Amino acid sequence: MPRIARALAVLAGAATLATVAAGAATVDPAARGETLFHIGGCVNCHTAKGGATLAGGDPLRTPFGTFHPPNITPDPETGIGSWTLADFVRAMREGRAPDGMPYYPAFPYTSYHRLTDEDLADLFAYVRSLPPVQKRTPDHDLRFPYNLRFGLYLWQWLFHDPQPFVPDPAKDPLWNRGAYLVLGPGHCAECHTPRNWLGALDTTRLFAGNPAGPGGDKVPGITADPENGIGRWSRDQLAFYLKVGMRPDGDFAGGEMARVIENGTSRLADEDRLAIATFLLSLSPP
Amino acid sequence: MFARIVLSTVAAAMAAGLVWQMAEAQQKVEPKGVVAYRIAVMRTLGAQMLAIKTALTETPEFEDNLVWHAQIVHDASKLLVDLFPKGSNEAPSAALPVVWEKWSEFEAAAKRLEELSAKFVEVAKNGDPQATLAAFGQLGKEGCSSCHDTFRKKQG
Ligand code: HEC
Ligand code: HEC
Ligand code: HEC
Repeated sequence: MPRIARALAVLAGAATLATVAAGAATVDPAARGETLFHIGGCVNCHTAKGGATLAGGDPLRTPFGTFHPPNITPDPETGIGSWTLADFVRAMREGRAPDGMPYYPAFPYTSYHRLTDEDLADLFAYVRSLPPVQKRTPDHDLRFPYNLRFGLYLWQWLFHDPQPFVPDPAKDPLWNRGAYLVLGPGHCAECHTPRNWLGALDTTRLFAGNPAGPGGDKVPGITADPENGIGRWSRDQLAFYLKVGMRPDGDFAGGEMARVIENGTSRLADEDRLAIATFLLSLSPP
Repeated sequence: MFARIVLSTVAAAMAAGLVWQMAEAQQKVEPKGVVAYRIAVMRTLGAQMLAIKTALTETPEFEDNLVWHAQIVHDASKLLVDLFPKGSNEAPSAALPVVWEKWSEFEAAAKRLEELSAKFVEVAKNGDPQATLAAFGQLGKEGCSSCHDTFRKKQG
């Protein structure tokens, strides 16, 4: 992008974020972070069924092997209690541990890197406000050669660009807010986009659906395509789906989406659901 | 070694593609017997939920019918477990084998819908649209979606 366009984009972004933040300016950081925590779906992976919040999640089975999402409570020994904000920002944006080792993209830093500095600080404040739990989680159980973590240096070099979200100055604030929520904290692309053979998102087919989603099942497309997407849904129908899970035909969501709605989108403000719907319905099929 | 990774990934992708195509082909089959009946009952539930939502948000002139719709959902919730005789998930059924592997959890999910819909009938009788809409959200998420989450194939 030419430098002027980029400068404009940053300005527009600052304006958008200022409007968004204005309403929340009086609330403390942890309270603002709670919304990000919900839409980020941290619980879906880091909390086991019936287990303590964020003290480690149920095993995630993938073609590369089994991941055990770690304890991220503020426990200093078994969680992230000794982390600084800079450590957290680095993990979420660069996908690197405090010692510099790369994380597997099973941790969706591939979307979270788009969070703004302010939002990362608020999210960190919220996570730090939760009760510490002392609990060690098992090591990942991955097949060779995926068990070699240093291979991820190459992967990140090929596929990871750790930039925060840049709003599109040609679009209005509602669209930009939706784009931010979907592409950043909501990490919707991680399930709704096909992946290449190295497990990276195929960005030429963003939101076109995934023939082999989590658990190997098919995940539907969510572009404005009337056949393989949600092009026939109205904006209100989509916002309502994100609130209670009802599709336009009266059926109710299942699969991982039920949890994305229950723990995430149903807890957003109406305005944010409308923003997400506005953005999604503007996406033409690939 | 690199060649091995490539080959095994290609093989995996082809297998995934094949499974996918088979699943596509399955969707063309018309449901029969128990599966057809059960799908029809589920669609009845969907139709009531859609009617309730429409009456609450778009057509207040039909608000008097809310209790009637709510009662249908409640009555049907008591039939659900009997619609799933062991192993009845022949194509094109979207019921997962886990229905029978975790039968007591499945029964609990149906029971949950029964309780929530009973509560919903009472809220609807009180005639406060705001409260009814809130209870509707809970009924959908905890009554319908939470069972679909575990026991129904994803709607790809
Ligand atoms: C799709 C599943 C998934 C979701 C959603 C998810 N994580 Fe994770 N997370 C993981 C996995 C898997 C790892 C381990 C990665 C590794 O070992 O390379 C991880 C690792 C981490 C780590 C590093 C912990 C350590 O001890 O090094 C942090 C911090 C973290 N996640 C925070 C979050 C936050 C905050 C959220 C919500 C905004 C979140 N995660 C959502 C799967 C997930
Ligand atoms: C106890 C579990 C359970 C509960 C509770 C439940 N469902 Fe279902 N539902 C299923 C299963 C399993 C299927 C897949 C059935 C099949 O394809 O054989 C299904 C399928 C459906 C379908 C798709 C039918 C078709 O066209 O193929 C609709 C619509 C539906 N359910 C609506 C609802 C609604 C609305 C509610 C709540 C009022 C609800 N369900 C509650 C388990 C449940
Ligand atoms: C963990 C994986 C996952 C994530 C993350 C996810 N989804 Fe989904 N989504 C699914 C699955 C699976 C379905 C199919 C649901 C079903 O079986 O009823 C779905 C269905 C949908 C549908 C309905 C499509 C249809 O045709 O019925 C919409 C709309 C949607 N998702 C939007 C979103 C948005 C917006 C986000 C981000 C906030 C998101 N999803 C994040 C897995 C995911």
